[in-house]
Amino acid sequence: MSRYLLRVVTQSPRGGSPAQRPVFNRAIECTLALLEFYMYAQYKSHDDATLSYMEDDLHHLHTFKDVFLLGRAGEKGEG
Amino acid sequence: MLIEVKATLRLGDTLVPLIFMSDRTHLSNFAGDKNEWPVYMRIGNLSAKICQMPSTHTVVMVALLPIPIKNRNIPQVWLDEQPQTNREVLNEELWQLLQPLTCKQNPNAKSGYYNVLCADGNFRRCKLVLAVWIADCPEYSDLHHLERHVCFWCKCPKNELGDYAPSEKLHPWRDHNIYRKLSDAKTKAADAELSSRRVHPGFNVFRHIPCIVSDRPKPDLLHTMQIGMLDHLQKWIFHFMKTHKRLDKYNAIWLSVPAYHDLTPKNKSFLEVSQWNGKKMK
Repeated sequence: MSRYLLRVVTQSPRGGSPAQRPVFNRAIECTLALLEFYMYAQYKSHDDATLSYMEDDLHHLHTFKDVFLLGRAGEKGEG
Repeated sequence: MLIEVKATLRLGDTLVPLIFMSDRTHLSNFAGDKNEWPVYMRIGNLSAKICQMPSTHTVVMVALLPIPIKNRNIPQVWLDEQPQTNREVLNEELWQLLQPLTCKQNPNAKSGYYNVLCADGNFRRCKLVLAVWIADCPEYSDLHHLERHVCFWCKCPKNELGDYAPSEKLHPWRDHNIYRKLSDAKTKAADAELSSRRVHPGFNVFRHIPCIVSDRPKPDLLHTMQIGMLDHLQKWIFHFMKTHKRLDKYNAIWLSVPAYHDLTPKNKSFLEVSQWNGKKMK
């Protein structure tokens, strides 16, 4: 699933209005960061460089994650 | 923690880190909702290659923990007391299991050594240390006597959970030694202090084991990533596509992913899959 999720996410918003594009780009960035983090997490050994990449991805994820919260305020259930 | 213990070892001693794993497993749905809560153990000295071979029996089941029954039609007063009783029963069993590791058995650093027959036929002096306990989030809350939905590693307040914390601004670890002293005091003030830290009072076996309790849980790929973060991401994307009216397109592309190498073609869309397990997340 994780290996093609990004491809699906990048393809889905095709042909949207220009106004929507920044929102979709943010969603793609966020997905990219999390999946990259997951891929790094599967490494068998780490050094300072890979750990710093993971840290960067995490930071990236937190900068862009608010895009998924739009329109979901006050919603109950799984989140 | 292991490094500190290692420093106390003498020449020829062997450090044996114990890795515990526990997970509540759902067995049957209609025949009485059977559950099981096994605890598995292995030692950390073995290489992963050996450990992963089922034929080597490196992972042994050491206990089946009690699962509290569902109580219906009983007075509310009893229901309120039940969680406390459940915790006591759970800790009694864990105490039986973990007794050889506790402070009472090992009053000082010199004790806690065992002569162990090793695979090469020689006896070695081994020091056993509780190194890791792998479980999922609600189980950590049960095992560590914490309330639900709190961080079991650090003192992160509830409203800051999920926020980005740069490495220099991490919250301090939970200190279970203080919790032990407060629960032993058994005064009203101590209980109030405990509940302000979102900790349940009472005896907890982990607080009597010489280790940093809040450091025992380790992130694992299955719980933290595959059915944790990736699961959330999937739901986020699903709702995101729904709000932007892209769900049909998303599902269509999802189903059109071709089979390649070990990727099997998808025949179900996101909503139709009832349960995502670790293998599917991969």
